[in-house]
Amino acid sequence: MKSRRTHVMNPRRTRYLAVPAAILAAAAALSACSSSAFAGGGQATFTAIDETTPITVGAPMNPFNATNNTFPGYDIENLGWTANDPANSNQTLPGLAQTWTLSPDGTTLTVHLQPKAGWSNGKPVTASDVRVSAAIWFTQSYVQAYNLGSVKVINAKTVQFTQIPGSSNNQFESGILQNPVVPASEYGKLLPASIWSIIAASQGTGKAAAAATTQLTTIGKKVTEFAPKTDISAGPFAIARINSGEAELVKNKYFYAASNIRPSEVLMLHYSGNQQIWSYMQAGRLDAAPYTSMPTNVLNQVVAAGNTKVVAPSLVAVALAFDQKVYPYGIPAVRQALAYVINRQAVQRVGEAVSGIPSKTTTGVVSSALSDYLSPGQVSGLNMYPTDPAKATALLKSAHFTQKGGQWYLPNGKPWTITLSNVSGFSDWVAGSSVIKSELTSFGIPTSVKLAPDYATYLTNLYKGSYPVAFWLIALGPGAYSTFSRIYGTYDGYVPSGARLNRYPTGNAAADNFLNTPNSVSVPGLGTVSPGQLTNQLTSVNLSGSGGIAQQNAIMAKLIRATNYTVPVIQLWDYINVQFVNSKRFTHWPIGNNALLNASPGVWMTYGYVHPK
Amino acid sequence: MTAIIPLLPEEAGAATAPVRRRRRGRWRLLLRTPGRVFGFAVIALFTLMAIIGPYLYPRNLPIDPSAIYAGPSLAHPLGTDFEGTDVLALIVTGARYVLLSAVIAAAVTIAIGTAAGLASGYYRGLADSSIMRVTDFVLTIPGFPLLIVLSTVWDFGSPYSMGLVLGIVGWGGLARAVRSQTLSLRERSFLEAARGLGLPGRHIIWREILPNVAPYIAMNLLLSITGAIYAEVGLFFLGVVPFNTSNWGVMLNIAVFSAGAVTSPQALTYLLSPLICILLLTLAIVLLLNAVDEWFNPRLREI
Repeated sequence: MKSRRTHVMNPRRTRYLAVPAAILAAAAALSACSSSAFAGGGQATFTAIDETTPITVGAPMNPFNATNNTFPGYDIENLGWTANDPANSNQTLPGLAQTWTLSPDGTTLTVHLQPKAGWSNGKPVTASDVRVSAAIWFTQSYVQAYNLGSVKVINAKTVQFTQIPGSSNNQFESGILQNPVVPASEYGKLLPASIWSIIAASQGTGKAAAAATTQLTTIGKKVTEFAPKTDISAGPFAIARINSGEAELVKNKYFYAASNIRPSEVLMLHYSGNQQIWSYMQAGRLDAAPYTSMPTNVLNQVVAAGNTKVVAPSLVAVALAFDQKVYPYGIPAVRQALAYVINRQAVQRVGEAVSGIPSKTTTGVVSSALSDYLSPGQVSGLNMYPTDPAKATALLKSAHFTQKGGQWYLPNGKPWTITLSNVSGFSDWVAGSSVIKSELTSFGIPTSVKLAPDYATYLTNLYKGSYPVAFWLIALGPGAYSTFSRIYGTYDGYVPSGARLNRYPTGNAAADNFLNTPNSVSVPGLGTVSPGQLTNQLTSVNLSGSGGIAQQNAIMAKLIRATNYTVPVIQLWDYINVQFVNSKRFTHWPIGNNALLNASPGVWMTYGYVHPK
Repeated sequence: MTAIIPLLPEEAGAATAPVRRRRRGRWRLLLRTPGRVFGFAVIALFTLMAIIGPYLYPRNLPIDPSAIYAGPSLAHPLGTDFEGTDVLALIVTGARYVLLSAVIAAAVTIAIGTAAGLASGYYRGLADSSIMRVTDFVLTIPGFPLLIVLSTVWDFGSPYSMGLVLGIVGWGGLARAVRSQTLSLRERSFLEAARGLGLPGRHIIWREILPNVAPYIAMNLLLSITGAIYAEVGLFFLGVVPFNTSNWGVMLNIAVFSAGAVTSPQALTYLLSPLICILLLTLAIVLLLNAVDEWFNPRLREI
């Protein structure tokens, strides 16, 4: 699912840049590349790094490959770009889609392409390109979660997307628009003629559907392995050359908004970790840099070097998650007690001093979005979980835990120890967990920190149920459903299937359940609620209909209160999107435009920003 | 039955005199040059730190989020780390893991390498072939990458497990060298005489050959310690083993990758402290090697 992928990208960006190139690494020249470094140099050369593409040697210029050398917003153009609006998750900035209309029932999306849109080889971008791209989205599982059923070409510049009959997913609009469009002339040959029959069969039930899904997966693999010889771009730039150290992107004169693009070329620099990005910024080499985790001392140096810190909201928070099937974390009092022990201010100050704020309390949504869903009275009625060891002690004693010689013992008499799981190289998480370790150990629960070598291993172990207490990103907005799906969605075993909501245990490949929350919980003042069911209901609320927003907010309020009381996760800090721009060579930055700041500088340029001095 | 005849006091004194002389001689060897004195003093200091250091501080070192990367002061002579913990306390409490695992690694390396080399070189034939094939196998395994892979399944939180693994992957070279020396020694006349007298192989290996290869083994013991220090700190530096803020490798990792110590003077003491400790320790060991060499080779003392 692209949207899910996109939503995970934001935090991944947060984490990735805290990760010294664990996922994407290395370097060597592509066969077609010159061995010499690019001159760059001209006044209109914009130099940057890409938050998702550190430049990997040998990686294809194919956006569907997990390790690729493409640059969203520069040489990859989506139909649209998310505005990251917490109040309306469907809010999207036009990209290749100039305009679009959603049918009143929200099930049909008609997209009108930019009339002047052209590929960098001079051919026009057409509805057929979009239809081929849509078929590829199916092979990559980008759109199934949004119930996309069929795609119809209306005319050369108009294409229509329709949901599976009977379904009504309120994230359909943004879920479709946030996907990249690739040239049919290059990617069409990777698809069999019967691709749409296979897609239709995969949406059915039984063995035929399973077989079709397998077929789609096989085709998807072929797509990801495809390595185009040249970069045919519908974006403002196209890759001209690439080597291990940098990529040179030249202006696409056929781009629909070519007149808005002021830089003549873009140099994308390779990086292997935070330290290298800090060095680039301290040397004044970057005209713009995306979010990069850094301590305050480095921030001061980066700013002193002439870089300007640009802040935008970020709808991501980090939390300590519990596997409730592992004793004693299924006991609510235990999780509540731990929430009283952990000093969130200290954890944030050490873990994410520059790009985070301590979460006000633990609710499953970022603190700044609470007022979108709750009245001031409801907000003040939440348990803020201030640091209060006495309350923690009382809660644990009420759950029959005992304390001897400063050490806490489980009701079964065994000493209680905690292993916090984390990822090597995620410096903010690791630093934060070190503080938690210190606080819990001082409280009488000897705690150690265990690091997985990389994020992929971490996730594999997490989904296997190997980590009872682990760091986890939550509140991934925008969108009510995506916010709570990080707690009560697939990671809690809930997977919707048509009108039915299935629940799978840990270890079942159909879901990645490692949270194992109860099916229903009893919340004072709210009664018994089923968080998984409530979260799933968020997908089908008709947000464009009257009362839709109120209905959504009522569900969100219940989920927030339930999460605040039952503490399936302890929310630690909310991220802030801190970027940097350098005005030595360019000016006209979209400062204050939060929607654009969520996209890459390539999109800023499309909208007329970034002028050479 | 053997009769035990007690020595007269003056006879006992005469017997212990050479022992005392030998001890005095060893001390003289240690104190003969300033470099050796320095090496000995540094090793003694770090050993003391490893033994009593952890008792000087609370088990859970206090943190202070309001003093992150604070500069050196009276309260924090080496400054503070990313969570405001005293760097000196981290260095002192971290010494035990580094030294203990290095010593264990060296001991395991020496034990396995020496036993394998002696047995292989002395018995030859099938034993030699079998042991050397295993040795070749160990030698072909790239040690450090293997350790990185092992760290994903093995808990290196304990210095014993770290030392054991480092020792197990590091004995191949020593075994080969000891075997070569044993092969050369076994043809010497005094060993032929020993065999002619019908002395058992075990006696010949331990009493006749081992003392002759002991200097080489002793040198390797010290070099193995430095190798193990580099390897374990390297593993922690790469961040592939359990996270412990007082580990010197973890300190280096955080200083370089998270604190910006390479470019930021604020975190410089945090970077330099473990680095200097590692350098001092390895330098001290190398300086001491000289004395060990002389100790085992009396001829060198005359030069």
